[in-house]
Amino acid sequence: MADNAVTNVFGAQNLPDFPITTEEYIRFRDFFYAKTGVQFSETKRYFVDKRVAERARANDCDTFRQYFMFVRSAGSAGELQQLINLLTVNETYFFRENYQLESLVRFVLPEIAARKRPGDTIRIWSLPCSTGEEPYSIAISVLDSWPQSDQFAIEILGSDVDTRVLADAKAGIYGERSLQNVPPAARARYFTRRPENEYQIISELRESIDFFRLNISSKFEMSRHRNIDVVFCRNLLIYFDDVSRREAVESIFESLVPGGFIFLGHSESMSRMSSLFSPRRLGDSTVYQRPLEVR
Amino acid sequence: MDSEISEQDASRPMAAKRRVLVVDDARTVRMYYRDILERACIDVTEAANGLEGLEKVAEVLPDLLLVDINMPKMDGYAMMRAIRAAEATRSIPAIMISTEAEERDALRAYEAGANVYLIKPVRPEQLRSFAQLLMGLALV
Amino acid sequence: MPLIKRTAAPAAQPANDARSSVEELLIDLKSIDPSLRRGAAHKLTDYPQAAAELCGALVIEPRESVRESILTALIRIGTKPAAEGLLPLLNSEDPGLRNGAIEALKTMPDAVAEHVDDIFAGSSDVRIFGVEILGALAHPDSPRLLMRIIAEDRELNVCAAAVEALAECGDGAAVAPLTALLERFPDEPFLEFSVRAALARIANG
Repeated sequence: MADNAVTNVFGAQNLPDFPITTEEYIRFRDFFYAKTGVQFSETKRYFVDKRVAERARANDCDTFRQYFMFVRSAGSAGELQQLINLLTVNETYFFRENYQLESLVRFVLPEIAARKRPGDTIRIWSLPCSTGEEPYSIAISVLDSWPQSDQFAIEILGSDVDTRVLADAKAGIYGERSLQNVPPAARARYFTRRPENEYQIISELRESIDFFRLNISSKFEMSRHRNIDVVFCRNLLIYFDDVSRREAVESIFESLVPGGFIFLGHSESMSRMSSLFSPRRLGDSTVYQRPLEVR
Repeated sequence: MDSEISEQDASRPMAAKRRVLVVDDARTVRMYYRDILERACIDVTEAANGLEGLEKVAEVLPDLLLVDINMPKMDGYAMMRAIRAAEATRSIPAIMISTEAEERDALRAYEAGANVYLIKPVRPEQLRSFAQLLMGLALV
Repeated sequence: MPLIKRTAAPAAQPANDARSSVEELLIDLKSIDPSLRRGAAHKLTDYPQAAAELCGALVIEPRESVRESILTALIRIGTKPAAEGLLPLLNSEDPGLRNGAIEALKTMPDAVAEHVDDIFAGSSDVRIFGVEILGALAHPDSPRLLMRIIAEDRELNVCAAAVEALAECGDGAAVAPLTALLERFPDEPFLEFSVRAALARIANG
């Protein structure tokens, strides 16, 4: 390895001797988008180059070309998953991608409400819910920012395949970092302060959310959930291969009511996954709708 | 009062560039159109299928659409019909482009809502002329 | 607060959730209820022998959501009979059906390889689709077949599609055929652009 390789604070080595040309970066970016639906902007150049170099080195590849051929070859399915894990950000916190929650209360819920009568149920499903930040954020947004919330019976569902994170979600205890985007009024209203700079969601809210284990790839499990009005499925489908992704999207389609909506992660697009849904630009979000008329 | 300025021009700063949305599943074709249009000082946004095209139309509100016909997920005809059915996008001029050279294919394109139908491969001067014509620009 | 916890766990599905027979599912595939047809298509994934029937249903299916389910089932099944049922759809007048078939066939390299001669005896549009499928398959024969196309095919658009595919999977051996193509079709700006781009990609790649 180069003498001038520098070890950074995380123990990773900078690799100045692993050049990736702009042309190569573009090829890689297009390939990654085709595989995962995740698109890197120009600003991610350094981030991507560094991680690709790291994976290349881990696989004894001396050039980008060699590594790129390896990743695309049939024998390297595990490597693509490694790349995906490295290149996608798994951080979760309250009000992540908040502009989507704004689209939910400003556009999506009013549209759904217009098709329902007062007292009807509205179901919103966070999947995967991970450690709970997303379903709780949805709940707080609905309660605080949607004037019509009182007129309906709102069910919020949170599911994940990982039972440990589900337990964390039910417990509802979070650190300061996770609450960085929570407005002070909401913090005061929905959290109680605990020792060691932790916060817990108030019990009334914790007990209002239905948390359950579910594997999105199980058609049987998915078929038990119907009449859903809104699904949040952010940054999950990128981990799937093409056919599993088609199946998962079809299952979500079945679980939604006609006219129901699905939100994906902000760098994901349904256009690479499935043609079942219609894209709708609502506020600053592209949201996907199951067609109203029978299709 | 600057009543000489039309309503459309008044909403656009003098130096603002036009933007074309290029919708084709072939990467080389998108690159080729981009090359031609950027040389004519026209900005380009790309989409690789009709669905992505619908998404991008709503995001960037282009001045012109170039739409291929055979694409995965949503073909060009379906995309054009959706564009013409929506209030916000109904008037965006569109060139549909295909390998198919029969009269009925042109008819199909016009029925879907194309303004112009071109047969691949498109020559640079063809693309420039039609683009400038449909976007109301002076011919260079 | 208006939040209501969903009370009971959702009821277990009624008897139709028990594993249905192929015969029952094929009947459901013709149901007037599109959600039953979709459900039947999902479940027929477990019965590869139903590939031919699934293809037959695909051709007459008017609803896009059901078509999608049938295509997914065929992709999942992925056998040669599935591919053989899809290949004729390359000739369909319906662009949605054609493109759905192409997408599915891109996942079935071996079956397509067996039928390559038929594909390349078809119309120019079918040959273009064939080139796209070849380009997407990680099949060792693809570069050789693509080079043959650019040497022999009479249709400019078929050759142009092959140039794009070769840019991805070609190597040094493709340089001479790519250059020769420009002599076969002189004064074609798009072809010149494509060949230049392909040569650059092969050189840098």
